[in-house]
Amino acid sequence: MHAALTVLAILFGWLFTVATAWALGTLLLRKLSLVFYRWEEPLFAFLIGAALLSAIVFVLCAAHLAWKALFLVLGLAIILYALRSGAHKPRGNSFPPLPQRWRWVFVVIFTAFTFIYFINALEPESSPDGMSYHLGVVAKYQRTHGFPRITTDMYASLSEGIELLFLWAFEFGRHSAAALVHFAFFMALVFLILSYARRIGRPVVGIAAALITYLSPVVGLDGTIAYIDVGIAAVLFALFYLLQIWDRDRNPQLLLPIGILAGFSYAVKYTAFLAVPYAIGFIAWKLCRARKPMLRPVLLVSMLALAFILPWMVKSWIEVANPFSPFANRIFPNPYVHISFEDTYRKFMRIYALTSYWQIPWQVTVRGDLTTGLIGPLFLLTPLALLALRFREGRQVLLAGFIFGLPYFTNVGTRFLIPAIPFISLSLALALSGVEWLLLTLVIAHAISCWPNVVQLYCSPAGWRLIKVSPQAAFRIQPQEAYLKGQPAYVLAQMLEDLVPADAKVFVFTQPAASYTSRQMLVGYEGAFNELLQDILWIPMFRDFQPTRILAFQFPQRELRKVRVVQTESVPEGQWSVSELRVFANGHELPRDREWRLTAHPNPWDVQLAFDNGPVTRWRTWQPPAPGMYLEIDFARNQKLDSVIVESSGDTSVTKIKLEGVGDDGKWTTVAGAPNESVRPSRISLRQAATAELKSRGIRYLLITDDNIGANDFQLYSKLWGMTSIAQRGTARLYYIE
Amino acid sequence: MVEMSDPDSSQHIVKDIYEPFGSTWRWTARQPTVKVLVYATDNVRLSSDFTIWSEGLQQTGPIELSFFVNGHLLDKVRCATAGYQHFEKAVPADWLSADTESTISVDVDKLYVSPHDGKKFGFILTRLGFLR
Repeated sequence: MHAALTVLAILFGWLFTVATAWALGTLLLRKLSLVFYRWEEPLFAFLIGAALLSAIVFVLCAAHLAWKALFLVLGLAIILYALRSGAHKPRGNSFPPLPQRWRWVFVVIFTAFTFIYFINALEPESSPDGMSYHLGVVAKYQRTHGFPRITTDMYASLSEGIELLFLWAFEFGRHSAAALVHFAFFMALVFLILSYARRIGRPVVGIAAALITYLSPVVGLDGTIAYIDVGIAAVLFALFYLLQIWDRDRNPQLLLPIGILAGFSYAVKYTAFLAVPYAIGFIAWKLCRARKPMLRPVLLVSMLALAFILPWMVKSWIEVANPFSPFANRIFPNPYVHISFEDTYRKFMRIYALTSYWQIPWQVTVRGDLTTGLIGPLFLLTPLALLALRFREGRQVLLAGFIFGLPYFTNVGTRFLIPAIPFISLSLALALSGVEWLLLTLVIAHAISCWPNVVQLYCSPAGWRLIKVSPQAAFRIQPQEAYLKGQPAYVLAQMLEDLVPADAKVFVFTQPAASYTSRQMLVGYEGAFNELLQDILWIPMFRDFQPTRILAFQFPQRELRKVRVVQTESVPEGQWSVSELRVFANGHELPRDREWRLTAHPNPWDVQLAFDNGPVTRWRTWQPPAPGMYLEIDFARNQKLDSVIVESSGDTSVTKIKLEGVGDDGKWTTVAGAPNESVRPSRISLRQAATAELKSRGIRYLLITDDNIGANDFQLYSKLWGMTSIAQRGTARLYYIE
Repeated sequence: MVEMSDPDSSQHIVKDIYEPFGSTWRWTARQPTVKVLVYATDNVRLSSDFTIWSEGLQQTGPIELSFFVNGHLLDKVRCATAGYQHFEKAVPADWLSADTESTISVDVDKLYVSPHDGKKFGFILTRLGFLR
């Protein structure tokens, strides 16, 4: 009974979300008197309605009104209003029937794959990013009924257009309802591809391209879990499709859904930002060539797009002082995401574990381990897609695929190819459309090669793919708890749920399944504050991070109002840090005075860490050192000084500094050039000092897994750390700081 | 201090210390080595409790144990009589580090060879580590 109710709740959450989106979209399309083919309207209605519903949820979250009851009332009102308006009555002409043979091919293959896809979507959510951040933020919004200000999780700063639809579904059916919403986007994409090809009079191409996309292993897996890549592919394809219709009809009413979808693309995923220049450029170019006025249409599309983009920028601006967070931190410096993190993240995403870009074709089509997923061996024929250039439609499809595929080079993970895959599939099918038996053979071969049991015969054992589905788990005959207990991330989340008080914060190096716990986790790499905690914990274990490098500036006594230590070296791969900055006169250190004004460039927010007498805290640039960076004291009055000591660490040994000061003349002058350098090893363990720092920042719990740096040290010397291991599950230990 | 009776002791053992036979001590081989962390590097003493087996001594004759800390020879102890022994000696602070584990090893110059299976044994170790 409980299992049946759970499944019903999931199905309700899913269908209610899809129905609300569809109703909103249909109302808009009918209001605009836009007439499509019968198959097209519900697909466009769902995607445009999804954009509108997402915007509504955004407003509700911003107003902290994201309550289940409100969603229910609002959704039902929208659906009922749409039904009363006759939205359910089909409009438009039907496409000519599909060729008999191809129709059967489509039905048989589509049905088989849909069965496993649906089961996978219905299973308890266990995907890495789905469990952790896509639904992690959704669960937070659900608990707080809106947007809480999150400054320690860079994922929460990304645009979350589809996640807000997940939230609508999550309220009723939790994780699986959200995954099924993504599956709805997947289905919409497949039928949009088919419809587009039917519209241009090439139904065979449509069936082939729809299947090529649908069966692709990475698309099939991604589209049936709580990810968003297939969702963005659907939005981008719908945008392309509407632009093609507009190009033919020049119906100005089409510009509204075009603007909405262009803006929604960015709202779903930053990497889809090219949708906006693509849409605007397309319209401007076509109107320019036709010698028609373009200002108004371009402005309309731009304004509508902005209406969907700006809320996300403003949210990030307000929450983390950077409209493009977690990127563009050099342009918008802020205390929430370090530039060094952004640099490292970008660098990794551009290469993953590849040793050469030449590995990409084989990896993304066949092996799938180094780039996380595979699109299928058929895509080795992608160069043939260029033959589609001989058709007008082919050129349009290839242009869109090229533009939407460009962001791939910022992240070479296979799933970042998904937005381009529908276009590649269409152009490949178009290219081979003249040899129908060959196209049919390729589609059948693709179907066989993409069936999960066959994929495992050629892909890497570590390739990210759909391995098997479990109807028992999907229909909750096997309880969710029992199914998920094989997922370490879930087990850890449950451990936190069981053992950590509700208001406590837990520091972790690697992310557990955040969506399955309500405890606040600070993940080492996910925010500037978290990276600081990580640094504090690593300093006792790594001598190079400790304040052992003593740089002493000695000079004839002078009266100075300000002093600053200035970096003179450029070190592209390093960082500059100062553990402590001390000033002396006549052999005595000047006590830090409340009148002093401390500042630093960059990272002025952490300047206090160089003046706190803490051996495990340090001010860091968190970006490569460059000449002109400084750490400064303004004494607020003239102060006699004869030496300045900078306590730094071994990992900054390639940096060089000088001392500058401001005297009576009010001008900065060099007080001393190169300092005398000596080494002062740390004679006591700094472990307890580190945990004391964490405690002072409100963190009493640490979750450490065996693969974390220093795991062995934490375990063996927990007493030296001042911690107690209070639980162990699998390879993870939960520590409490005494 | 690494107590051979401690269930966690194997995590400190680097090499040449046999599994216990349900005992609070363990047999060593030629170069028993452990890794331990010190809280501070000053006023640290290396300490060990061990036993020389009488039957083994009959076969090997007097044996010499060399105590090393992070590769530095701290002392040599000649053992000519069987029975329990205690070793303790101050360790220079600059041999030690408070951030990473220090390695303590004891070199045995002659090993007892079991006439039954040819297995080699050094001495019987009860504890080995630092005191402060």
